[in-house]
Amino acid sequence: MRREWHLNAVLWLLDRAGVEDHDCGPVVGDLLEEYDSGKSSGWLWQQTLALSASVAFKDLRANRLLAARAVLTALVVIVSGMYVRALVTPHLLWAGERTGFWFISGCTLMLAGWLVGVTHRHHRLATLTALVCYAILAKTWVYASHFRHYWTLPGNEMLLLRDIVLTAICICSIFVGALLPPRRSGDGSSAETPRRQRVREGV
Amino acid sequence: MIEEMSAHDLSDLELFVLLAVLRAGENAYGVSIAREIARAGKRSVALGTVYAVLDRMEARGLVISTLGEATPARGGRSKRYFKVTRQGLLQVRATRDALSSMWRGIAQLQGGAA
Repeated sequence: MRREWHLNAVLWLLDRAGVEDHDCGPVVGDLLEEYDSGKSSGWLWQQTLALSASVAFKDLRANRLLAARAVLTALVVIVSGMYVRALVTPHLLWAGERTGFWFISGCTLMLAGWLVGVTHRHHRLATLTALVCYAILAKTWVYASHFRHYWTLPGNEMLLLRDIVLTAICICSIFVGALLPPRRSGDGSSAETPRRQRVREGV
Repeated sequence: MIEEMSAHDLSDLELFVLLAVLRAGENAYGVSIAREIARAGKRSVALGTVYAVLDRMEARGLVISTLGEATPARGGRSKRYFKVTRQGLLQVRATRDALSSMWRGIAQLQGGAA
């Protein structure tokens, strides 16, 4: 039962990420064959993540301009989110009130991920990887430039660590947003997912 | 000549994959290649990595691939069989010769003692 759950989760993820759009049918078949022959669920997840990363970086290298366009598209949302955040909760990061700040930040990045996922369906993994790399670089720069602020706030020794964890969660929400939209085939009808295909074939 | 050879040099992993394809013979597809590398090469390689290396080598004309049968255990997906081309074989031989010549005459590597 648990193995079936892991298998379905992996197939769902690979389908949503569009891995099989990159001639990866045989390698996904190999993964299923090995899992069927008794490999652990941990092995399946490890192989799936390695495969996704491999596909993402290969596609990214081949479509650099597209990745740059995706980051620019996401920046429209991110900058808009920053303005909304400033209007709704001005200076709140250093003024003690932080829930609203992180909530709006997370929603903004999720929306950016969703937009990139929708507008770059055939290169979803590559464009998302570019966006995540940009987000990590931008946040690193923000923390580096505001590093001294953390030591001037009394009684907030753990604030930096907490903020880094919250930032990581916000960055992960890019993937959540991107994986949300349903995948459609070119003619507008729902594409047959590997899971549906397996169900149809009675596997 | 040396420059020409180094432009087509095989990396460590590419050599492992090519040798595994040769060892697997007619049944050389992702799983069997990864198993050969694990069994004979004592190295664990992710399937995605194996395919990435094979794709790269196919573009260089060192291997060719054909799609095979689909089985229920594979969720209806085809197997992709690989075969080493003549050029690939020449490359493996050239690498073996280069490595053998580097190996020869090293006193520290003679015998079993470290």
